[in-house]
Order: sequence, then C-alpha cells, then structure tokens
Amino acid sequence: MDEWIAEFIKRIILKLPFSQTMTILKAWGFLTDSELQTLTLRYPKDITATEVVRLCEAKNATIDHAAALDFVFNHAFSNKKLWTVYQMSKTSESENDLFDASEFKLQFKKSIHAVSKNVTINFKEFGEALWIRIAWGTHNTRPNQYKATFAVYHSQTPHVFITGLGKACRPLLCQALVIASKYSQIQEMELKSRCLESLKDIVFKRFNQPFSSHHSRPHEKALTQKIVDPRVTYENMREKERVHHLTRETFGEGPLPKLELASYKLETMFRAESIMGGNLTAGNEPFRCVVKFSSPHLLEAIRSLAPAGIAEAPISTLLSCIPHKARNSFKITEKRGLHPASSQPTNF
Amino acid sequence: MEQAQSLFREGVLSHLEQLEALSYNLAVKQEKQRQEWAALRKNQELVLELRKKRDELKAKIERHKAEIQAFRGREEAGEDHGSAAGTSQQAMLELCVEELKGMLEMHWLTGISGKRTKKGVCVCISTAFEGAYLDSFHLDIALKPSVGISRHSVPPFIPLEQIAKEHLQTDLKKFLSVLFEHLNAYAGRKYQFQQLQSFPGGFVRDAQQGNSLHTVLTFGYNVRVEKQPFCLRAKLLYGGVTRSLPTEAVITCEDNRPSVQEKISSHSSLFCQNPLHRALECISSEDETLNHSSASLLGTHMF
Repeated sequence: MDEWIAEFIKRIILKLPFSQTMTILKAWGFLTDSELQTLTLRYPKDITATEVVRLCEAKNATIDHAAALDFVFNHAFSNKKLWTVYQMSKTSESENDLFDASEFKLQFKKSIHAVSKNVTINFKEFGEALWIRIAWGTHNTRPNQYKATFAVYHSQTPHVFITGLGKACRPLLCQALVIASKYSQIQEMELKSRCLESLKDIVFKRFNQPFSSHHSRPHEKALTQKIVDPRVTYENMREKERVHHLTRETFGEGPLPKLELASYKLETMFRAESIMGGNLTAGNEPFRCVVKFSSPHLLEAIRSLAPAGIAEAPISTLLSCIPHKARNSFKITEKRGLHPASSQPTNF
Repeated sequence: MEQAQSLFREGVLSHLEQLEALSYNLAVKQEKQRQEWAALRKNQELVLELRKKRDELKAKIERHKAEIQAFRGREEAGEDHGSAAGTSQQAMLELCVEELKGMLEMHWLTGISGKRTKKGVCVCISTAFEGAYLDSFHLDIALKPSVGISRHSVPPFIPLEQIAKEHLQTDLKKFLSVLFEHLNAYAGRKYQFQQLQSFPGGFVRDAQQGNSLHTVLTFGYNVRVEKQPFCLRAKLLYGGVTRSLPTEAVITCEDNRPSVQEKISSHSSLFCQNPLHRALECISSEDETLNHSSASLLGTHMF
C-alpha cells in the first residue's frame, strides 16, 4: 500500500469525532467486525488512526477503498461543505429510458479521461442518489485527494448537487455530466446551502407547500392561547389570528428546508423626498448595495418574523418566495430590467 | 376746652368709625351669605335635574329590555307554531352550506379535486393504491391570460413539462387524467416498495430500487423446493410508466434444477399479475406448507 494512501486514510480518521468513529468504520465495511473490536478508542486519536492504517496495510487497501471511506465520511458529514445546485436541460424531448447506472458511469469516465488522464473517479450509491468523487490532477502532479469534488446525482432528475469544484475544472465536469446523463446543457442555479437534504427538499419539492384546497388537512390547528384562565383576556386576538392565518398560508405548517444565507443585490435608483436625498439622486446612477440575511435556519426565522411582531404580515414576497423560486441569491434592478425577482423596492 | 373738644371728638368719631366698620363687616357677611345661598340653591336645582335625567335613562333601558323580551317571546311563539320565521330559514341555509362543504371535501376522495383561486384553479391530485390513500400533489393553474402552471408540488422525475406541452393548452381534462395516471402509478410503486422493505420476517433481503421513478426493483428471497432452501434474486421492471404492476419479472438462481425452474416461472407470472406484497405473502405462505404444485399455487391467489 502506498505511503500517500496511508496518510490519506489517517487524515480522515483524525477528522472523525470520537462518538462517530465506530459507526463510520462499520459503514465503510472494509474492516471486519473482529478487526474493529481490536481497535482502542481513546485520546489521542493518533493511536486509533495508526492502528487502522496498520490493519489496512495488512489487507492491501487501494485508493478505491480509501475513496469509499471518503464517501462514507462526506455522506455522514455533508453539512461541513457548501453545496451548489446545477440544473440540466434538454432541447429535444426524448422518452425517458430506464436509467442505466453502469452506462452513466462508463460515459462519465470516458468523457473525463478523454481530456485528462490523471484524475481519480469513484462512484458510490446511497439509496436513490449516485455520489461521484473526482480528485483532479494535471500532467505532472498526482491527483489531489484532499480537495476532491463531490457530485450527487439523482437519476431521471435534471439536478446535480456539487461541492468543492474549482473554477478551472468546472467546464470539464459540466461537460461530462451532460454527456453521461444525455442532456444538452447545464447551468448553475442561484441556490447554495450547507444542508444537502434541504437543497434536495427544495428542488424536488418535498417540503410542505401551502396550497388552497377544500380538503382540510388534519394537522392544521387553530391558534391556542397559552394561559387558560377565565380572569385573563387576550387583547388583539383577532390581529394575532390574522397574522397566524397569513403566515400559515404563505409558509405552510411543518418543517421548512434549512438555508443559511439569502443575499439581495440592489441596483435601483435611490428614491427620497427629503433634502438629504437630493444629493444622492443627483447623478443618474443606480444605487448599488448588497443586503445579506444569514441565520442558522433562515426560513424558520423568516416565518417567525410576523408572529413575533418584527415585521408586518404579509411578509414581503422577496423573502417568502425563496423556497418556491428555489434561489437564495437575488438581483433587483429597475422595472425595465428582466429577471425573476420583483424590481420594486419594497419595505419589510 | 380744646382738650375736651378733641376728647369728645375722638370719642364720638371713633365710636362712629367703629359702628361704620361694624356695619361694613355686617354688609360683607350678608353679601357672602347671600351668594352662598344662591350657589346652594343652584346646586340643588342641578341635583334635581340630574336625578330626573337618570330616571329617564333608566326608564328607557327598561323599555328596551322589555321590547327584546317581547321579540324573543314572539320568535319562540312563531317557531312553536311552525311558521316560516327568519331563524328556521337560516337554519336550513346553514344545513345546505354544511352539505356543500362536505361534498367539496369528499371530492378529495375521487382523486382529482380543485378549488377556484384568484388567478385560476388549484388542483389537488390525491393518489391511492389498493384502498390506502397516499401522497397528494398540487398544481396551481392560471387560467388568464393563458393557461399555464404557476406552481406545483410534483417531483421532477415525473415528465410534467412534456405532458403539459402535449395536453394543457388543448384539453385540460386530458392533461389532468394523464398526469393523474403517472402520479398514481408512481405512488403505487413507491408504496409497494415500502411494503417490500418492511415485509415481516427475514424472508426478503437486500431490497433496492434502481431509480427515482421506482421502475426497477431488485431483491432477493428464499424459497424451499423439496425441503431444500434456495436463494433467488428477482429483478422487476416496470415498463409502462403509468402502470403499477411490473411488465417483466426476471428471477435468477445459481442452481438450475428443473423443479426450481418451474417455481421460477410460476413466481414470475405471480409477480407480474399481483401487487408485490400480495405475491410475497402468497409465496411465503406456500413455503410453510409442504406439498404444493404450481397448479394449486395459481389457484390460491384471489386478487
């Protein structure tokens, strides 16, 4: 086994948190249960890592096995990376054949190796999703295993989720994906997040979207009062119910996908009536600024703006359209510009 | 003389002064008293006036209460007499509204139901398989200025754009029924796969679906032929996207004995004609009894 494979495996083990080490190694499946039992788990992690490397050497682990471990690690800790969504499209409508995974893998490998031979490509299937790992290298350098790109593809959908892709390698990867999945072009969507599952929820529309229908869903509940006592009356009950109703109509009940960031790039003319504004509107140039909202769970925060009284209900559509339009990066220009978000500056 | 005069003067004058002061004070006091009397009288009059007003208002309230009582009494009297009073008509209307609401809710059970919105109509497609209601999918269709889909919750591997291009502009009903077939079949296959995964006992192992549309399914199961266990691997292909039963069932086994081959062919027809979990139930139940021939096997399934 090569020195660099040993080092690579050791680095991955060192990155694992204590509690998860055994689960990850079991999921890897390369070491048998009896061998796993001989491992000692205690600080410093160096000892465990060296033991694992020794066992792997004894079994002659190859780069494919190391890549499998990398897959398991990144699948379990996919929230450590920032994922971007790409969408593919076809110009001609062809009937969807039954997707052949081996055909896809073959075409993908062929397409990449046609341009650059010094690239490690591995595949692994997790349920419906096909994970692809690509370690890039050039003519004279070995593939960099530590900065591998991961792409997640669900068959028969036009979406691919990619992380760790450098600008130089982007055209090659995009071309390979398009050829292998039999589409004609690919485009980056304005949607980024750390939570891969949430990205999938938004794009596959798996989250609970509110639609109006005559069928009353059983889980819709009315606003309940916290203190039930005949001596306590609630002022503004009607207003609270109205806000609750509007919020439910816009966001629906149930969990929302997890996004961390929404950014709005404004390129609008500054409108003001006061004297101070006169100076700013002097030149006929649009006022440029970027507004960024960030939160551990952005959509939940937006949903609770109106009930908490921080914003007026109904919430501005610029905020509430994020999951529907599947984008969290907007550019707002004047009315004559053509792009999806609304072009009138609105107040929250 | 002067002394006496001045003394006399002083005495009389001072006495006069004193009397003058006295009468002045008295006059002031009388004036004050008079004023107080006047104020008092004024207040007493005010009190009388307010009392009168209060009594008037009280009387008004009593009158109104009496009126309401009388009205209610008349109402009840009216109902008792069975005449078409206002409230019974209202009760009937309410009953009608409840009935309509119930009918609209019930339409959800038919599979395709809709509700008019400001811009068009919101269609709800609810899928079911063998009596179990599964997921519902929604479509927001805008009718003006032209028919188009504004929002939907249909997963991306269903060819929605293709179906919309073909049928949406020309025939809305056809579009909805084609979409309904696709969604229903997909939900049916997904349900069968979930049943497969949770099949009781260790009968089925390694169930995997090949793609998001659930059109390729592979799993392995064990079967006994002549008291010997065999491992079979089945691969089910759903050729028709709008069908929830497989078009092709390929079963392989490492061992190629004629008795096993017989089983294989009977099982494969079983899979093609029945929902997956029923076919597996059949197979597992036949496994438990010992003497079975393929003829009786085909006769046992009733669906």
